[in-house]
Formats: sequence, C-alpha cells, structure tokens
Amino acid sequence: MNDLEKISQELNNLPKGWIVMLETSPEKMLEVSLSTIKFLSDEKNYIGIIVSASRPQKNLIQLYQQKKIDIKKILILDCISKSQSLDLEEASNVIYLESVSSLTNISLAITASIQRIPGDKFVFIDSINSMLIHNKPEVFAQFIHGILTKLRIGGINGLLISLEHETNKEIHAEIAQLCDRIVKI
Amino acid sequence: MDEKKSKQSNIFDMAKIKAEIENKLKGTDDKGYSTGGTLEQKTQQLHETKNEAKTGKKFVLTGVSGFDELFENGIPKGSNILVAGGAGSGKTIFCLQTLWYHILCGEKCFYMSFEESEKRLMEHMEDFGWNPEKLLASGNFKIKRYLPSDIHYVSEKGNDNAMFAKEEDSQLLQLEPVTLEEGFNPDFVVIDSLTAIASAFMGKEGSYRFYAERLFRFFENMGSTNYFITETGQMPETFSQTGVEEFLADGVIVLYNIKRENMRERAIEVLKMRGTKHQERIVAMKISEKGMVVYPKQEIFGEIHTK
Repeated sequence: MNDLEKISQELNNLPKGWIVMLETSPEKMLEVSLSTIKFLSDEKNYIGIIVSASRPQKNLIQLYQQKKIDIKKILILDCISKSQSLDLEEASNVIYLESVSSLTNISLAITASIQRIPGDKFVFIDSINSMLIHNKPEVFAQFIHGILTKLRIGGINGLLISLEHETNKEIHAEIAQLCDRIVKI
Repeated sequence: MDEKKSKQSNIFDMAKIKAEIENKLKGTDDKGYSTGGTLEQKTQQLHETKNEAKTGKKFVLTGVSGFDELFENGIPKGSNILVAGGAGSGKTIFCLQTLWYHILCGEKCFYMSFEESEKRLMEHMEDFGWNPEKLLASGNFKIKRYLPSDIHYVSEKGNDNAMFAKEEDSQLLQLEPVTLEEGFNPDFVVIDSLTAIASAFMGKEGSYRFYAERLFRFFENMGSTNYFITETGQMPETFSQTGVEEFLADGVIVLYNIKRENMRERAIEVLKMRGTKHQERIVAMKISEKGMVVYPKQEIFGEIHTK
C-alpha cells in the first residue's frame, strides 16, 4: 500500500468531524501534506483551510498548482509572509496573519473561516513543529486544544501534521489524546 | 461526482468570503457597531432587548462592539467605573467610543480631560470617523480640559465642622465643583485621568486618597455613569494609584497590551462590576480603523502577567 492509499483508507474509515494527526519523516513531509490536501479536495470535495506556519503562500500556491490541486477550493491563512516582510500580493484565497506567534489572531481567523465557508471542509495545521519553533509548548498546547474543541463543536474535520520522533514528547502526547487517529506515514 | 464537484465550487465566491473574514479580523464587518449606519439600528434593538424589568435596576451599554456581551444585562446606571491600563492600551479610545455611542442615543456626555487638549481628543475621534464637530453641535457633548492644579486646596486648621480627618499637614481638601453650563446635566462623564489628578498631590499621597474618595462621592451624587481613566503598567497587578480607587469604584475594566515575542496583542476584561453578572475572563480585543472591537468568545493564549 502506498502512502496515498494509506491516507485515503484511514480518512475514509472515519465519520465526519474527524481529527487526525499525520506523523511522517522530514523527507516525506511535503509530499504527505500535498497528497492529503489533494485527496480531501479532489476526492472528498472538501474546502481546505490551510494554516501555514511552514511556507509562504506564494510557494504553497506553486506547489498546489504543480500537484493540480484546485486552489479555488483552498483558503490559505499565511502566518509567514507578513512577519518576514515578504511581498503581500493580493490573492483571492489568501489571508495574511501577523505571525506564527499571534495565536489569538490565528484562532480568530480559523473561527471566522469555519463560520463563513459553507459546506464540507477541513482545517489543516501545517505544521506542529513549525508552530513550536515560535511558541512555548504549553501555550501551543492550549491553543491546539482550543482550536480542536471549536472544530469538534462545529463537526469540522481537522488535520495536523508533525515530524515523527522530532516533536516534544509531552506536547505530542497532549495533542495525540485530542485526536481520533494518529496516522504514521 | 463531477456534477457535485461543479456545484460545490459554484456555491460560494472565495474572494468575497476572504474579504468578509478580513473585515471580521479587522473589526470592520457590518455586523458590529463599527459602522455608523448599523449603529442606530443596533442601539434601538439593544435598548429594547436589554432587560430592566426583572430587577428594577437600570443598565447601560457601552456600545463598544462585542464588549457589552461580557455582561448579563449591562453596566448598572450611575456606576463609577475605573478604566485601567498601560500606555497605548486603548483607554481613551474605549471611553470616547462609549460617549460617541451614547451621544448618538441622545444622551448627554461630558469629557473632563486633565491630560490631552480638546483639539487632540477631537482628532482622535475624527481618526475613527466619529465626527466630533457634529457631536458638539448637537449640544449633547462637552469636552473641557482642566489642569491638575485647578484642584484647590483649602487649609482650615482647627475647623470643628470638618467632616474628614485631617492629614498630617492639617490641610483639608475641597473639590472645586465642576462648572457645567446651566441645563447640561450629563448622563455620562469621563474623567481622564485619575493619574493626572494624583500628580497634583505629589508627596501628599494621604491627601490624594482623601480627595479620591470625595471625587467618587461627588460623581455618585450627580447620578451620571462615570468612567475614571487610570494609568497602570502594561501588565498591571494593581489597577489604580493607591488601591483605594479600586475599592471605591463600582467597576473595574482593564485593558492589556501584551508582549508576545516581538509583537503586541490586545485584550480586555471586566475585573469587577457590582450589580450585574459578567464574564470573568480576559478576551481578545483589537483597535480597528473604526474603533475598538472586542471578541467576547476569543480567549487569550499564553501568560498575561510577567513573573
């Protein structure tokens, strides 16, 4: 079974409103992210709300286009570009947030997004490790708990991605216990 | 499947949704108080829905978007409220916005400034589109600047009729009555700030405490609802100059400007409010181009106070 088959099998077996953590190696992380987004967007017809703490939107959109992901079905919450003083070009599916450490603002953006986007959707936190670079673990755990609770209440699907063996064990355990499944790719 | 895919992608306009989300984050969405056009509608609706009947008490709102949702009913009318926070935390904006809301409701408002000039305060209001000239012309709004030295000292040694205990230097303090235009009895007053007033009592902290008590009684007797601005540290652990003001006040509202790495994050809380139930947590707040916006359901992540 290849990686995409494994991801689709795992996600297909869960009832709507699932929360899943993907764990993978640094080498595979990008491909796992893209394949999962493509599966959810194309096969499941979900609208994706991508919280990007890893890559600026310009790079993400290029990657999505290369992977033939329909970017009209994606809203990117870009936490990188503004804090790095990158060019904030106007894009119809990108919202620029202050920084990866402005967790309250990120939470507000996620809440507003899930309230306004109709239909089936998922929120993808990319990635736990990138966010932990900029936030204290206990504060990040509080943030994740808050976000996942909002998703649960709204019946919204949630996806997190982290590096296997690289994530702080305590935080990993705290987040894992909030998820329906941990999928190791 | 292709038909379903096609339907889903046509259901909504992502660019429009993105704009709505951005407005929500900036606090400029039409559903809040921020836009003048909806304010009058919201005002009428809220005056009708906020209940007075059950307890017989009267309550007032602030009109600051999201803030009034922190209360079960509102602020009890006639309360003395401290508005505390560090430099740049939004105390003046909060108070001006509250007065703007009440002036539009046809109520009389008075801004007593011991710090900024009338001109500067009007510029603040213009920045948010609150049209201070129009408000002044309505006759429902007065701004007056005072100097802390306008507070007079009267020394009456050995006065048997003195109601108040003498301080160590045997001075009694007498508040010069606020002189307002005849017929102008404000419903809402902002005193900006207690910190500036306290500066007139440098070296006489005992006298200041005595004076503060008289000041609170004076405004209590006026029957207006009064907001006393008080400057604190950025992460306050005490919310007034001497602590006695917190005790005297019916309510304390605290504004925060929290440092996060190299960023600042704003927050607000109702620390205390006698006579009404209120949320007891610190929630997110922003200052948008149209004024202050509070997000009553958005918690703050991370520490508020430094150790």
